[in-house]
Amino acid sequence: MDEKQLIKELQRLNRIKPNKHWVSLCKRDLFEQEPKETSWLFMPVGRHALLLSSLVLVVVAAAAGLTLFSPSNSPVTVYENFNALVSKFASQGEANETAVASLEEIRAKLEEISVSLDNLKNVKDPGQALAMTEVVKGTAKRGAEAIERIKQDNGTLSRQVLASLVEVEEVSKSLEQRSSQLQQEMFEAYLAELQTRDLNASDRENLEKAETYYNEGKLSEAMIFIMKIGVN
Amino acid sequence: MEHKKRKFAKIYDHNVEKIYRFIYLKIGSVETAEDLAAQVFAKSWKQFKSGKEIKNTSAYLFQVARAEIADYYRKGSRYKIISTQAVEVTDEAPTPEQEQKIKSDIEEMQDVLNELKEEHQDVLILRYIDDYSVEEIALMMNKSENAVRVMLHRALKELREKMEKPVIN
Repeated sequence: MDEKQLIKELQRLNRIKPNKHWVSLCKRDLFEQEPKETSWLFMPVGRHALLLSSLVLVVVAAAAGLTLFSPSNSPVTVYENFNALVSKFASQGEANETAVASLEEIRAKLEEISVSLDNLKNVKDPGQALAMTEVVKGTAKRGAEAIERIKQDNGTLSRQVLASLVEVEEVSKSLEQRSSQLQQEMFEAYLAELQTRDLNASDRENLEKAETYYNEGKLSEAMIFIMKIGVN
Repeated sequence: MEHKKRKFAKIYDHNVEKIYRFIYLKIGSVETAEDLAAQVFAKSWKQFKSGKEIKNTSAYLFQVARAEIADYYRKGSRYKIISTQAVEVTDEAPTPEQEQKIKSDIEEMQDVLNELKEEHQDVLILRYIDDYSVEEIALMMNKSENAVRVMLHRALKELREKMEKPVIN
């Protein structure tokens, strides 16, 4: 038998293959043996709680900001509400009832913010008022996004919770729309007002940049330059 | 961690067949080969996820496999149980007779291979069955490329002698 033939004979052994079922089972076991992540963040309910908590935080942050501009509300009350909501989420269990109650509070807070939006028109400093509309808009947007994520991962949520989520989502979207509209109105009014002012060279430059960005539809960038006006 | 898992899953897919075959050819039992191959990947995954550097994964896997086989025999399992259950005939639709003939030929070759020195078995399996290059085998066996070439030559010679040896019933 020559070398070539010998090698050919040897190569026949490459027909030996593992059972396909074993191959996939072994692969699955390999990674399933991994210790499960025990942090509450990785538990389905924990993830919901995290998202809801994030939502509460942004809503409360926006509410706190609005309150600072609103003479009828005290910042102390807002922080009390804030603490109460956070404590509730910190102790939140799996109970869907708790989630519903929390969502109710979030919805109420969003509605409160929506009503307070009008107060922004009375704020003396239009720059700050505009910044607040940006906060509200961002809050509403993130709220709607957070709800969308919760809905997508809704394996453990009851119909009642889902219904509450839809309500909060609607309020969030409406708030985003309203704050966006208000922001545009206020921005245009503020730009017009700034143009009548006697601005120094630096502020004039900031105003021009803000206008350029605004005309390009880049409101966030425009806001940065608007906020710089009058600082120096 | 997910990134590491994906990376190791690719390593697994690429090597599982070869590692299994290597162990099976050395042990001769489907069940034991499956158990040992699973251990090889479990140990390698542990090492891989710990972040310790593995320069050549194929070489590393074979080193672990060889250690597992040595450990298996050290623990007292001295007999090789040959079973052709592991043979998957890949020819298109062979007849039962053809399939039986293929299995019988493979078993015969496997028997002869098992009579060779351990190192000769390894080098022949890696080079001609698993199709690794001499360079890769040198890494796997921790030898120089020249040493591998010499070993291959001797292994083939030994194999030829065994195959040409008349069978005495």
